[in-house]
Amino acid sequence: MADNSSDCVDESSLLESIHAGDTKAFERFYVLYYPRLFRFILRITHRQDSVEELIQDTLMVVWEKSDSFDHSCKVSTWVFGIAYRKALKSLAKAGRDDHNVDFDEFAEVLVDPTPTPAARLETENWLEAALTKLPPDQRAVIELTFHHGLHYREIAEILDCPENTVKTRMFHARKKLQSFAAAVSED
Amino acid sequence: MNPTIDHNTDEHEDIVLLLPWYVNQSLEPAEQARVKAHVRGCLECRRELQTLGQIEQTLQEPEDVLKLAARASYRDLQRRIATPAVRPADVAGLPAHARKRNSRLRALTSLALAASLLLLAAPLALHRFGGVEFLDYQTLANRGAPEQGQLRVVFAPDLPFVKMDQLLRSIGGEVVGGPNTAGAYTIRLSAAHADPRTTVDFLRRQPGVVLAEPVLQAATGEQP
Repeated sequence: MADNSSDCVDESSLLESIHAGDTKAFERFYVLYYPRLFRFILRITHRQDSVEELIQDTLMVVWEKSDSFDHSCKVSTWVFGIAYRKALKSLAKAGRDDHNVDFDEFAEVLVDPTPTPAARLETENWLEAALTKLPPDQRAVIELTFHHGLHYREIAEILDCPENTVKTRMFHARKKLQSFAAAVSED
Repeated sequence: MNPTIDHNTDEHEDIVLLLPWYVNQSLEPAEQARVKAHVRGCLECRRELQTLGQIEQTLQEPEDVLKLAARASYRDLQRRIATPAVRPADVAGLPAHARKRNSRLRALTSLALAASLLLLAAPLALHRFGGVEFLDYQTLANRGAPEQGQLRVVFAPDLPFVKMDQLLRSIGGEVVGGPNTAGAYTIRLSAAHADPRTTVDFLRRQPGVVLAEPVLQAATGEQP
């Protein structure tokens, strides 16, 4: 997995220092989490114009409310949870909450003649294209699993849902991705 | 018993749900062993593992550019934390600890706005922003004589970096400061394009430019 940037960093200690007003500690935290949050938030929202603002909002919570971290989970779980909630709120606020994207809508993309998926995917990664068609909660599970390498239990904590829901979201996401891949291979 | 066929459907369905976390190697040892034992005899799950492995590989994109952008944006953060622009009225009623933190939050807000532009313009920013002090915004109260060859420009938020760069090249401009809290960059014109008025007129006609004006000498006190 790629997300091993925090392996050598004691994030809990960093958070304690941040609570004490240590700007150096916050700088380390900022640099550490910026790429991870950027990817995660962009994957959920697919809105480049709001990514920076959401990273800011998330890290503002870390800066302002570091004392609210209760050590019941990993620091990353706490931070990603904040980011996830803010991303969903952003989608809702923008009227672009595509939670309700269903497979019928997804399938429309597969039969769209101009441009055809095949034509588009000649120049784009098919998986990236397919991921855009998943609902945000499924994209979050995909991203947290395959890029951030998290266990489904941690993902359940971040998304604030039962573990079985995480597994189910992943299952449905996989099926949709496979359908997309099959459609591409037929073109 | 044929080891390649798993007759336990419930077990198979449970395992199928766990496969993504078998691939990312986050399962606990007992779960890992359980999946491993099943996969050994299940062709369907082995095929699924191949697909999941491809997904994982595809999502392993390098983050080097984002790391650079994070460092660049934090350099601005440090500068703004050192000189936070806080209106006293905003914090007068707060306790000392809250005032201190409030001022930092304001500084951070400004930085994040700048960071969004920095990221969009990361290649440009990494080459052109280093070591440049943050600049104030011009007001009516601090107007002065035109600064030779310098402009203040606010680009449209949705202007792609490529377009911004093209505009800068077309006017022979180089970013030497900003963005400030209003999103304004300070642009230094090359000697060949040193007439700010003409360039301002040109920029004001561009849809990707929200504001363009010459920098006035008394406005900032920055180094030319």
